[in-house]
Amino acid sequence: MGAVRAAAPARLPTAGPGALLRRRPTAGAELLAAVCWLVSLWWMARGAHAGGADGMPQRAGPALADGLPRWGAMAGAMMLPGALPAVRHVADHSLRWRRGRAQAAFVATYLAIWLAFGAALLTLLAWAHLRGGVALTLALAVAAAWQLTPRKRRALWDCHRSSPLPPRGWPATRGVVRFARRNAVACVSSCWPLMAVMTVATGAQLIWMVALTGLSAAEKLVQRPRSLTRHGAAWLAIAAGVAAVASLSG
Amino acid sequence: VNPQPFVRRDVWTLAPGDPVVTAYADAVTVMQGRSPLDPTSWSYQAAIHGTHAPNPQPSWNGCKHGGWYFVAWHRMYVYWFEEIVRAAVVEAGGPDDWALPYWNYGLNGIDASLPLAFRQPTAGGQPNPLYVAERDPRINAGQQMPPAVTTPAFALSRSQFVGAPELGGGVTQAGGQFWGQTGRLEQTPHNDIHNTIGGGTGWMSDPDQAAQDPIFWLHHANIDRLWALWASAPGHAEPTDPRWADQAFSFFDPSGDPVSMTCAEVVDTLKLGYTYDPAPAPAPVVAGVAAPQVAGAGDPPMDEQPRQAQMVGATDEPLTLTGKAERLSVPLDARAQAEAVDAAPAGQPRIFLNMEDIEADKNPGTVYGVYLDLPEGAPADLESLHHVGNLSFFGIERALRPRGDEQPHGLRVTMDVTDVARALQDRGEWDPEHVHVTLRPLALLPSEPAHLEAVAPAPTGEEPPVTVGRISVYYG
Repeated sequence: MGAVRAAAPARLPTAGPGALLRRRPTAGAELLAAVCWLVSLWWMARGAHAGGADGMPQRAGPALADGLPRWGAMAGAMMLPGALPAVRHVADHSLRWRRGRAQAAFVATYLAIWLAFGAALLTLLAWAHLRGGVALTLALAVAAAWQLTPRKRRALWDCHRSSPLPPRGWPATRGVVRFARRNAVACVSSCWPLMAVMTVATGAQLIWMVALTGLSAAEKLVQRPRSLTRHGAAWLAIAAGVAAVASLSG
Repeated sequence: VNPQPFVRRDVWTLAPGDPVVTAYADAVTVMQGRSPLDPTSWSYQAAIHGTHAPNPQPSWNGCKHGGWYFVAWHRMYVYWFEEIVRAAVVEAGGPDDWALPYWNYGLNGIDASLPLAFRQPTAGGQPNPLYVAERDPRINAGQQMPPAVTTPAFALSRSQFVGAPELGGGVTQAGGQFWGQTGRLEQTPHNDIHNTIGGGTGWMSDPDQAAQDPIFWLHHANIDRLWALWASAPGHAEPTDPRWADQAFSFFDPSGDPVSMTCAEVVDTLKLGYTYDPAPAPAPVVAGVAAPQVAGAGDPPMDEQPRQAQMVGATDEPLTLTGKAERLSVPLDARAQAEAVDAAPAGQPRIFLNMEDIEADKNPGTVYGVYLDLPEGAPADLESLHHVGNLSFFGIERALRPRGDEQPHGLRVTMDVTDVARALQDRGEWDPEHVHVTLRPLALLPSEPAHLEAVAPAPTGEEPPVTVGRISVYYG
């Protein structure tokens, strides 16, 4: 078309980060998730734990200061994989030249909401003074029950709801933040018990992290999640039983 | 291949009292008299498409909309329904070669009005089973649907099956999907006809009630015929992707036993034992699992198209539709245009118009014509030069509150507007900085005087609102 041809020629990047983002718009978020995994693994290797040194934060202030960065890395590692379709959605619905900032706004808002939940959870754990084994049993039982609630189902649905994304300027940023907030609130509503389990689990953390990441991401990514959600509930209930026995015998 | 295929005929070519229609009416009565839990009953068959009833039975609420399974699922659905009706017809002593008629409203004129046998409340002094009051009263009064609604041209002009702007719709993907991928045939005429017949409150406007209306099946026989017509054209082919070809769906045979078919098994109507009168032209090339030598011909380049296409402009604010005409401007971004042109083959991108994040609590039953750069106050005869497709909202409630285990999503409509844009360019009417989009409700036409039974008033008052979250333009 003449009018289209009349537009000034553009130079699209053929190499480097720009070209990578053209080919794979979610590359930045994937890289961030990978970094979060590495940081979490590094902290695990050092024996540190997001919920405190032994899963029992003693006082809210130190627990937050000490645990929140680790909790944030853990949340990024576990929750960003399930958010990648939303990141892709933002990229596909933004002008190419402002994709980067749109995705950054999405990821920042998404993680900020998870961090806010993490801060509240760590504060609650510090206040409640729950013992590790009891806390894990309780968290697993709650997680198993939550999997079967209508609220969980609605939250999973809401993870797939979009909102309009204006193309330019502050309206564009506000639109992305609004979409990220909607998505993150749904994600927290769906997965908060799983993150609570991860927060109080003091042993076999890598196994917990892999299993819970797999469950939370798969629930979002499969087309019909009900069966998976129910199976997840069953496994969490079994784990709760095992944790209860271990806690009583220990 | 059945050597004597059943022949589906255009209902408007059948004489009044033709046994095909009277036998259908009798079979409807028989099926309506069966137990609701009998899979061959009228209500059970309708519930397979969708129902508001609690305690869903096997195969209920199964209809596939907003994606590439639409045509295949509905072909199976109509096929097994026809088998059940034929069994009832034969049992009642009717013609054993009975086949479901189709309604070719695309011929326009009188053919675009509801067939007479479906508009008369009584027949022979008895209630007419083909008549339902739950339609737009103007349709039951014989008013004609406008050509902009009945046209199959937007669908039949597509060269590919897979893709939101193509005939069959986009890939129904697992997870991460934020909108449906309604194909051109599903949108126009399928969705538009549903809305026009049902209006704001009729059964046909609601997927959970639509199949209770006996005209539903003739409408879907026509949609099925249009798919067969498209497939008969050289180079047109169904997907070979196993996600489509091997996807199976379950229905019931005339004995009430469950049966299952895959999409690949229904691409050829002759193999299913039926055809249309007139028969669609033979297809020189039909790719499918049975034709691996041409595998790939129908593979989905359009699956990737929305991803490869680049957004070059969009509206800032949502648009609320309440039944009135609207005109808005989509600003195009020069830098994004330049990048998209640079990335397009030969610097000639195709142009797509998207209506995104469409949400409403209730389908208002209105069909809007969508026009590109239509001058304000343009006369009706100029509209066709700017007409790029239609927007209607059949299934919007169910998309947002799905039954069973599916993920909800807003509606989205994608139109390839390249040809209209090029014509505008040739006439010097293309604005490289803005695309002007006009949405006009498509009104019913008056009845043919000879068939005017009643004068039904147009609905008054404001419609339930529909929000279009964003209108965007993509180059790809």
